[in-house]
Amino acid sequence: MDEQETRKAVHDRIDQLDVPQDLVAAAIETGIDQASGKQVKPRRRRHLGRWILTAAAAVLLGVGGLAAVNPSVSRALSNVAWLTNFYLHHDDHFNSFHVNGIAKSMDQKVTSNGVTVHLVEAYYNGRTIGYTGEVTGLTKAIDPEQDWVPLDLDDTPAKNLTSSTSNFEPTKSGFRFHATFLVDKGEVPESVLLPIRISNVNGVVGRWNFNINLTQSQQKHAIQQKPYDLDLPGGEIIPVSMTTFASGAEFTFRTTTDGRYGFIGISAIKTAEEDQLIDGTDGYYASLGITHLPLKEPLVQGKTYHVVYQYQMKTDGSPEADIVGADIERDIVLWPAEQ
Amino acid sequence: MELTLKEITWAQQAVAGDREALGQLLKSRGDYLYRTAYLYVGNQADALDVIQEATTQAVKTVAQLRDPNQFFTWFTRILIRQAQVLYRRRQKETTMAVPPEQVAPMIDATAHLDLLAALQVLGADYRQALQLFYYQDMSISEISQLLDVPEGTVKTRLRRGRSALHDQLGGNYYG
Repeated sequence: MDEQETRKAVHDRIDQLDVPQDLVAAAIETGIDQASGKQVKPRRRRHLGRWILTAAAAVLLGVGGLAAVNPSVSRALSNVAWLTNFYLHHDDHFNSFHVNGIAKSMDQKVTSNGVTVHLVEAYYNGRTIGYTGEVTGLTKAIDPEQDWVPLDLDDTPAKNLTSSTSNFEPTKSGFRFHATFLVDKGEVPESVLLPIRISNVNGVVGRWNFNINLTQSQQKHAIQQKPYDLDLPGGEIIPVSMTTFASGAEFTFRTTTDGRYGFIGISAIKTAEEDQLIDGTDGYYASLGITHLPLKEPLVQGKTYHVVYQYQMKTDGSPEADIVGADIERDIVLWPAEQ
Repeated sequence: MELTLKEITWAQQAVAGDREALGQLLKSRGDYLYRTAYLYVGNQADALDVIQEATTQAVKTVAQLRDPNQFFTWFTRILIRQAQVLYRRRQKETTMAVPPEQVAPMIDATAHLDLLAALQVLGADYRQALQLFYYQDMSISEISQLLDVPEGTVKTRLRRGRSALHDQLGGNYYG
């Protein structure tokens, strides 16, 4: 092989290397911002803890309580022996990811400095992303009483993705863990690349890198954007779309005001049987403008629902002013039949 | 590396202080920059860090670039220096002698790149020389200038690098 042929062969081989173009563009933008002295959001590094952070900084409407969970753990897809018990040991929120038939088995394993990180299950449905794994090979046991474990974790480079929950339980030579994220703004992407970079596990320095590529199918229906008749002078709620996921759905609407309202939103959607359709499991962001409302099941076109909507009115228009609000109940066809 | 007319315009604007043009120019060759960085550091996260830091350095010093046509030669030098800094830091962080980083494949992983794997196990100096010569298509003289080492040193590194790769790959590459 002469020099020219060798060069061509090298180019051909190296050009097969996949390039994460969005991430490269983001790195360039961040590099420019950094030079400008702008505050640059560091790549997220955090410790794994037993915590549940529900939509921080969101206006969380009063729809508390966990979604009903199918207790039939036998439907779980994974063949990892400990997984079922791990979820049962924790709350229903985690358990639901495992049993609803959407979680996918994984078998990605990286060993560095004698410590192995093994990802065994991944989940992507609606706005929730999650993964479950196990660390083995630690020589220093995790104290069962401690409520966090040192794990330098960098796993949220995707836009509009925020960390939501995490949990772990110690084992003889490590721990099992679970983490979830929420797509908190914008459209739900069909696919998400979630790079996971771990650089320190309970004091052991190394590199445990994974790339999880998650996809989901969804059906989105645009709704005629005609304001509901709410008898709310100066304020409107306008439907935008209805999206159905493999499990659950999302109703998107837009609220507008002429300035007299600080907030307008929907806090309950009930069927004739008084079943609450809003799924408050992970919380959701609600504010003036666009709201993506998580539902346990899709709305039915042409069907009337009993809706509770809320507003908060500014008393004098200034941000500092006291506000007054009210809950109003009304029967509404949320997804009107097309004209 | 030859620039297109559009890229030359961006390069001139970047030298004049237009950061948006600088960003456009770098993004236009994002694939090349990523692959160059990746070949040094061997994983995605570090390659992105290298691009980010090199971009910051470039913004701060691009006004000193005398010939905008040489933008990517100049930027590659910055990129490689950043990659070397990170590579050395990682070497210090690794407290035990371990093989090069194992990166778990994506679920829909692409084919294994044996050449990349072979490059990763070479010493940094050899890998660098081979990469610049065969992938960046630089001459021995250009590599010598870029790395600030004598041409004889570049030749030695290329020769030894080829030999090591020959051992790794069984003689299919680098004759």
